[in-house]
Amino acid sequence: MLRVFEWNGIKSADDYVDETIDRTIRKIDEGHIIDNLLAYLIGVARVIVKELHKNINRVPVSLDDIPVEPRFEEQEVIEPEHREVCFDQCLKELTKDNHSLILEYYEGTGNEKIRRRQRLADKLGIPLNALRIRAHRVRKSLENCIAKCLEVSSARNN
Amino acid sequence: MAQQIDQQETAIRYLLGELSEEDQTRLAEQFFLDERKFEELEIAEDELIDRYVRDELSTKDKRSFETRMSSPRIVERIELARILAKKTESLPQSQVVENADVSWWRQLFGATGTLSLRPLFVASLILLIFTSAALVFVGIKWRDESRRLTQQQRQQEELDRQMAEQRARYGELEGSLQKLRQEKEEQEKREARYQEQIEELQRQTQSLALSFTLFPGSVRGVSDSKNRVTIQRGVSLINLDLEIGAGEFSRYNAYVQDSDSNTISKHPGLKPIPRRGSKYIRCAVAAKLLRPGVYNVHVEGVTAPRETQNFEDYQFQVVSR
Repeated sequence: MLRVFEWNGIKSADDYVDETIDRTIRKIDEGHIIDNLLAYLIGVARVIVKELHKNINRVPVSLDDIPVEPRFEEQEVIEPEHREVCFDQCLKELTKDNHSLILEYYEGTGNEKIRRRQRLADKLGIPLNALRIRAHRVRKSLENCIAKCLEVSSARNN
Repeated sequence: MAQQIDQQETAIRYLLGELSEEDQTRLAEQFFLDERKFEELEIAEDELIDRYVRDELSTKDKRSFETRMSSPRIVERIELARILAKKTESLPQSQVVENADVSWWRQLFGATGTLSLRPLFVASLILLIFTSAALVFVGIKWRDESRRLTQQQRQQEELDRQMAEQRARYGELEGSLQKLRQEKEEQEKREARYQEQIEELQRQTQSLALSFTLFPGSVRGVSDSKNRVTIQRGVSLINLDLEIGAGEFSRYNAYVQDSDSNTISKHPGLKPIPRRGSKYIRCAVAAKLLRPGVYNVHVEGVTAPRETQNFEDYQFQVVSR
């Protein structure tokens, strides 16, 4: 649910998830029968996203208020060095196979990257799609590790 | 695979908000209700972030990305993707790529190697090639020689085997021949012995057998010289030649009977022998059976097997000296 808002450019996604749940509960209280709750929630979230987009478009913005840099760059609060230290540390914690897989998978650009991934899949004896999923999961575990590492680092600094 | 790429591209389009409202809603439901599809969407997010940090997105996509992907989680992911991109760029080319992208010739001659080492490497390589060629040549020659020797050895073994067989056969034949020689010698000895016995018997027969001619009819008394048989001392066999005249039978049976009509000697199937215008049949009787006295030889003509007809009686008188 959170992703619905995130992937639609909504900053305070958490707040709108709460709003989605509140609206759904109200409908149930009003006596609406909901067959598929998850689908219903997605539907409500999509409605909220639409409303937000409409409101954003209607609110006049001063030229001075238009950000020069992308909005997400303003949110940087973690020191880049800390992140890289955590990245290296967590990369070392990966198994040898996963370590080489994540680096080889994200090596290269464009068509070369596609060919490289196909060869990596051939080397591992798995289909390309399986390789994509494996790389994604390794990356996810790496990012979780880095997130924890950064939390610890931040706590120490505070 | 093409389908997977299409799915990924559709997911990326979804994330960039480039699909129609209907498709956006439909895909949102699919992605969030199916875990596998949701993971596909996360992979598409990885890909999108990766392309963004490597500056592979078009201007339009980049703008859409920056507009939509602004949550703290994605911002953090973008930072990590930048580090990841930096790490993979700073790493040496992976083995997978080297094996596939660089030709074997370039690998051999060190396209990525140090220039100063190339001549030495090339020289070593040439030396290696020549050495290998020489080894291959020697190897092929050795193999041919080995094959020839093996063939010769096989032929020799075959000849030895054939010779051994021939020797064995010759030995068998020699043994058989020796046996035949022995048998022949024994046979010759046996024949010689038989010949000697026959000759001895003939001598004995000639010296101890006497022949008498008998005529049909009876004798009148001791003084009657007709049909008188005189047995001398030392005579063992008496040949009784019975005169049968014209003798119409081809075979005869003769029975030597004593004075009491007891048969003392039987002679079946006698064949007539023509002599001096008449025919005779011979009965050989052991001398010891004939004591002095009157005897009779009853003769039957054989008309058919087991059928006889009385022919003549020959009475004779035996006297001793």
